[in-house]
Parts: sequence; C-alpha cells; structure tokens
Amino acid sequence: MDSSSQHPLTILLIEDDKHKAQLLINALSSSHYSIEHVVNTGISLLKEVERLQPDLIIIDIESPNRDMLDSLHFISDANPKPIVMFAEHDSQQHVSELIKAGVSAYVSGGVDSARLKSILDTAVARFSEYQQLKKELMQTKQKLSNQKHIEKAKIWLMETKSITEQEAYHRIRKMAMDNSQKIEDVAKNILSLAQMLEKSL
Amino acid sequence: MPLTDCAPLIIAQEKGFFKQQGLHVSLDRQSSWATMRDKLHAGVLDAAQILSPMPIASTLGLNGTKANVIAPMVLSLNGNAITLSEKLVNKIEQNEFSSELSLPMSAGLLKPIIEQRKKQGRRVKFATVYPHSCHYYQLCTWLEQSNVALQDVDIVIIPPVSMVEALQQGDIDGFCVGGPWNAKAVRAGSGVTIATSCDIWPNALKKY
Repeated sequence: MDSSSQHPLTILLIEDDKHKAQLLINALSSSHYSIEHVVNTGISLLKEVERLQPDLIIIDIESPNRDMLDSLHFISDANPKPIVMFAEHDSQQHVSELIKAGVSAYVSGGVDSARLKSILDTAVARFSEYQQLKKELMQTKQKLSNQKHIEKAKIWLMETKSITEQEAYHRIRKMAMDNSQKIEDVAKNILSLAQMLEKSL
Repeated sequence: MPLTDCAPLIIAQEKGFFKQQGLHVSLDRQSSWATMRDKLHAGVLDAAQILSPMPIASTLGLNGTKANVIAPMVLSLNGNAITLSEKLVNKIEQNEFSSELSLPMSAGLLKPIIEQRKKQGRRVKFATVYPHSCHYYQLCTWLEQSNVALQDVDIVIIPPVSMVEALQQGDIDGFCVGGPWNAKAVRAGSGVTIATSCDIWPNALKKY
C-alpha cells in the first residue's frame, strides 16, 4: 500500500471510549483514510475484521483483543494486518521504550495529526516490506527442502538400481512428466516408498 | 493477568512476603499477553507471570521482538481444561447412543460431526488464549491423539473474558482455557468440561 494508490486506506479503529475515538478520527480526517470505528470485543470483533478486511488496525495497547488480532495470521489463514497501538495511559517514556524495543508502531495520546499520519503510513509500508521478506524466506526454504528431497531420491535410486546420477534424475523427471506431477512430489513418493521397504526388511 | 494462577503473586503481596525479602513490588494488572511480552522486553515491566512457552518464544523471536528473558520460577502446573458447548455434547451423546459421556472424552467422538459439517461447508470451532501457550498445544495434542486433522477444525484466539459468551452464542463449539473460565461455563449451563490438561499432558508447566 503506498500513499499514491487510488483508494483510501481502510482503518479499523477499536476504541471503547467515544471521546478518545473522536480525537483520533479528527486527527485522521482526510480522503487518504477511511475510518471505521467499532467497540465490539471477542468473536464479534473478529467477525467485523473479517467483514471489513481493513488495511490497518488501531487498537489500545491495554485492550484484551490485541492477542486475538496479533495472532490472526498465525492461527488461521487470515491475512496478517498491520496493527498500530494507541497508548493513552502510558507515560511518554514507556512508549519510547516500547518503540525502541522494536514494536511496530505505538502512538501516544495527544499526538498531532501530521505525526499520526506519518506513523500510520510508515507502519503500513514497513509491514508490507516485512510480509514480502517473510514470503521470500518461505519460498527459499521450500526450494531448499525440495532440492534436498530430489537429491536423496536420486541417491536412493542410484544405489538401488545401480545407475548413474544423470540416469536417476532422468527417471524421476520422466515419472513426473508421465504422471503430471511435480518433480519434488515424485521424489517425496520415492523416499516414502524407500522408507516403507526399509521398515519391512 | 486476572487468572486464578496469579494468586501466588497476590498472596505474596497481601501477606507481606515480598516486603519480608526486602522487595518493593507493585503488581500491574495486564489484559493482553502480547502487550505484556512487549513491556517485559522493553523493561517497562521488570517481571511477569507469563505463559510457559512465551520465554522460549521471546528468546527465539517468534511473533514479536527477540529478547533474552529468564524464567527463574514455575508458578503453576496444569490448570487448563477443554470445555465443549452443551449443544455439541448433546449431539455427541446422540451419536453414541449414550446419555452420559465417559470422561475424559476422546477427540475421536468429534469425527462424525466434523464430517457432517464439512458437507455443510462449516467447521467445528475452538477458541484458545494465545498461540504460544500450553492451552493451544494441549488442544492440538488432544485432537492429534485421536487423529483429528488440525486442518479440519478452526482454532481462533479470543480473550478469555469473551469465551463463555461465545460458547453460549454458538460462535464457538469449545475452548481450551485456564481457570476460572471452564467452571464459569459449566455453572452457566452452557458448557461441559470434557478433559483437563492433566488428562492430556500430566503435570505440564503452565506459567512462569
């Protein structure tokens, strides 16, 4: 999400206190953001998040709903969301310590709208970067794991069938093509078969 | 956290045990594990009554920042339980042609209901407290012990204070949580506790 995108960022503001919520809404009024204010908690909040699919969530640091939102992507298939914590009660010092400790974004009560906007934009940008890195890391790990399986399967074929490495790879590839399967899946099948045979001997 | 097993800390405070040791302690009530973790990492809190997998998650930097924390003392063992909604338990009893389940209940008895819901495009849904918690791991173990695939059920994190209501409203079919929430559901007539953490993992460390 960059600031030059056409549609406004959907922000879900979770705040029981109407006064505090209004302060934030005023600070954020702009065509840049579209703000939804909710006071639900627990499962009904979860349903709201699912329904709205916000680009960013602002929630009080002391809210018991934070664990639920923080863990959305960990536990389910839901997309992770950037979360900005609003810390009205904490002293300025506490908030800076939390920011230093690397938590994605904290907003202290009473911050001016310009700063708030830049904090939110930064939170969203940093979050997308982080998600992208995570994705690449996962893909790389998957690739490595596939390579390992293919190597092992080749070695097993070479030993069992007394063939060369090239021949072994050729056979795996042929099996994959003949059965419309991925090479790494064929390799995995060969390895489970190998394991089964070993166990029964 | 406002859970039964924070009692040792409160008693130490009220009975003057901290003072006796020359310690100036203030107890700060928390409402979110993630926030407690962040405060502990940042030094805003000097110490915390925390879920036992969390110090490990902190050291590994899972789901938050990386920080070295020490866990010098175990505060509680066991104490969790799995409670299912009255409705679900009635369904299970119907399927089993029995008027009373033998406890602890095996997760295998959920299988026909899972299958039935699959056809309707729905899933059996459980709630628990936090991903790095014994509650979550115990729930998964209970399911896996009976070969129920985790992909066949939904597990959500919701605040413990919302769990009994969610069970009553039918938003969830069960939860795995610590005291006093299982007892609350039973007293409200909306839930049946079908397994305790001791049944799943004898003497598991629950909180440091």
